[in-house]
Amino acid sequence: MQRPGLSCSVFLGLIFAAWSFPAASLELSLEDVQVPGGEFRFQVKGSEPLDALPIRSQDEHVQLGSTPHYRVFADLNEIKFATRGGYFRYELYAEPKPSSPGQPTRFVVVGDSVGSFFAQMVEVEFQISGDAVEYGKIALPIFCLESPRYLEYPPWAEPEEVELPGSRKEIPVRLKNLLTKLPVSITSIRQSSEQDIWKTQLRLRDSDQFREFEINPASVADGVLVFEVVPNSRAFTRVLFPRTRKRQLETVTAYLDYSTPWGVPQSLEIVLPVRFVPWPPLLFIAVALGTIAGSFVPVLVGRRDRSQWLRALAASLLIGIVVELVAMLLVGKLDSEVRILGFKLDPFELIPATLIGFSMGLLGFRSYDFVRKILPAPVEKPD
Amino acid sequence: MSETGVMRRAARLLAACLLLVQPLPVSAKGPGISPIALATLGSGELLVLDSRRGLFVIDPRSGQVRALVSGFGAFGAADMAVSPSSQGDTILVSMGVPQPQGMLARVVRYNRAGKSTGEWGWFGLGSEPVQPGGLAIDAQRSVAYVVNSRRPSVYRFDLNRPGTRPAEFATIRGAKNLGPLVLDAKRSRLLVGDPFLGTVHAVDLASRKSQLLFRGLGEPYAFLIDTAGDRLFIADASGERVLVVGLTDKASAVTTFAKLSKFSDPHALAFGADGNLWVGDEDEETLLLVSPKGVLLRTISLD
Repeated sequence: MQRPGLSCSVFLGLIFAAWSFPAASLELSLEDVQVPGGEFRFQVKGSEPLDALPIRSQDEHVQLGSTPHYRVFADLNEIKFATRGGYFRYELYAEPKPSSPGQPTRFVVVGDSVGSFFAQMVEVEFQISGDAVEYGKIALPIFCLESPRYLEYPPWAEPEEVELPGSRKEIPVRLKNLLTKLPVSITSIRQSSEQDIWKTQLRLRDSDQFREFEINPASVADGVLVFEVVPNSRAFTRVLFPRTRKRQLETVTAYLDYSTPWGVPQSLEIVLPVRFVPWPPLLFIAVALGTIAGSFVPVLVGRRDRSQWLRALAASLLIGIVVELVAMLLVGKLDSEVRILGFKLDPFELIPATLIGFSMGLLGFRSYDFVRKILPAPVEKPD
Repeated sequence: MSETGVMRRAARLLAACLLLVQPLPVSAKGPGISPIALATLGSGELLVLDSRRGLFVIDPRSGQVRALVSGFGAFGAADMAVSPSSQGDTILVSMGVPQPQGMLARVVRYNRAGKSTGEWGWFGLGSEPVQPGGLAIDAQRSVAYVVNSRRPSVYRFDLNRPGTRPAEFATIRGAKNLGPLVLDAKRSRLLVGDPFLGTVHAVDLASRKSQLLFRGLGEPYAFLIDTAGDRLFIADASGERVLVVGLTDKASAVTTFAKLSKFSDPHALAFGADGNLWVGDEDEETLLLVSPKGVLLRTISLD
C-alpha cells in the first residue's frame, strides 16, 4: 500500500523540478523525399533554443506544419544554395503549442539532391521530439542541380525576315514554364556581345528598362519579351555582298537568367535565326538600275541606235520587272529556283536582282520586239 | 520618272541605311556585396568574392570599395584563391552554371587589373555531376586544386596550361559534399572540408590518399591556415562561429576562436595586419575584423 506522505513528496518534487529547470529545447528530423527521377535528402545540422520565434506564421513566405503539441515553421526566404558544397540550407523553427512544455527552437537543415528532377514543392514528413515524439508534414521546396531544363522557348522553324534598309523590327518571344507547382522568375537578360552587323536587344515589350517578372506554374509568357533587331550599315553590305551563295542567314543570340523561388539561377540561350532581306521596292530599283546599265552596253559598242535607246529601255524595264516578279513568285512561294546562264540567282537579293535587270537591258531591242509582238498598239519598229 | 530621279531616290535610300545606330541601354544590378571568399592581396588590400556580383578590392583602412570584375555572366562563383607575388597576384575563381541535366564548371584566372588570363573548364552530366567548390594554389609546383562538391573528389590543373581540363587527383573517402580547400604546404597535404557532414579530411599530395581529421564541426565553409602558428581556422556557417585547431598534433582539439553576436553566416576568412582575422559574413554583407583573442575590432559594411 502506498503511503500518502511519499506521494506528496513525489508530487512536490515534480513541481520543484518543473520550476527550477528550464523547458527543454526540441529535436527535429526530416524524412528524405523520393520524387520521380531522384531523391532529396535532409540532415539537421544544428539547433539553438530561442526566447521567441523571429518569424510570424501568417507571413506569406512561412510554411507551417502542425502536430498535436507542436508547430513547425519554415522560413522560405532563408533558403540558400551553398555554392561551396552544392547543397541547400533551410532554416526551420519549432515551438510548443500553448500549455505544452518545451522551448522555441531554431534548426539549420541542409538538403542535397540525388538524380535529376524538377524543382518542386513537396510534403516533407518530420518527427519532432519534446516531452512527446510526434509526426507531421510541412510543405517545402526541393531543388536539383542536375535538373532538366524547366524554361523553354519554341525554336523558330523559319528565319525571321528583317527588311533592309529599315529602322527596327520587334519579334515576340514565347517562354514556357515547365514546372507544374513553382513559378519561374526571369531575373535578368544578357545581350550577346557579337553584334557586328546589327544592334539587338531582348527586352520587355512595354519597356526598355528590364524588371524581373514571373511565369506562373505550367504557364506561357507570350510576347512579354521581344527581340528588337536593328540592322546597321554592315548588314546592308552583307545583303549586297553575301558570303555564301545560299540566302544569307544570321543568328541573333541573347541569354535569360532565370530561377525558381529560392533556387539556383540558370541560363537560357535564345537563338533567333534572322535573314536580312532588301525592302521589296528596293529590289525593283535594283532591277531598274541593272536594266539602265545593261541597255547602255549595246549603244556604247555601236550595236544599238541611240535614238531608240529610251524605247528599248522602257520595254526591257517592263520585262525586267515582270521577270523579277515571276522569279520572286517561283522562289518565294513555289520553292523553285531561277537560273541564268547556269547560275542560280536569288531574286530576293540585290545583286541578283540587278543582274536580272542588266540581262534584260542587254536584250533591250529583243525585249522591244517581244513587247511589240504581244502589244498590237502603234509601236514603231526599230532599225 | 526620269533616269536621274530614279538614281537620286536610290542614292537617298542607300544613304538612309548607312546611318549609324545608337547603342541600346543595358540593365543594371542593385544589392550589396555578399562575401563568400576573402583574400589579402600583395598590396595589403582585401579581395572579396561575391558569387554573382564579381570581385571587389577593399582598402582595409578606409573601407573604400572598387569593382575588379563585374559579375561572371551566367556563372555563379564558388571560391577564390590568391597567390601573391612580386610579378603580380594570381587570382583564381571557381564557378559553375547549371545546364540541362548537368553543370558547366570552370576556373578563371585574373590578373590585378581584373583581366582574364586563363581558363580551365569541364562539364559534368547527371551520372558524373560537377559542382566546383574550394580552390587552392600550389605556386611552387605551378598547379592548382579545385574540389568537385558533387563527387566528392579533388581535381588538379596546370597553371601553365590554360585551356586544359582539370584531372581528377584524389577521391575523399567518407565525404559527401566537399566545400573549402586549403594547401598545408608544410605537411605536403591538402585539407578539404565537407560542410554537409561537418568533417575535415587531409589528402597527402604524394600518395593522394585521404584521411579523416576532424568531425562534428557544424558546417565548415571556409579554411585559413596560420603557417606561423600551425593552426587551421574554420568558419562554421550554421554554427555562426570561427573555430581553430592545431595542425601539428593529431589529437588537437577543435576550439571556438570567436562566436560573436554579429556573426550571422560567416563564409570567408583572411588575415589582416598584426595577426588580426577578417571574417566575411554573407548574410549581413559585412567584413568583421577580429583580434587574435577573438574580440571584434571593427566592421566594414558592404551593403
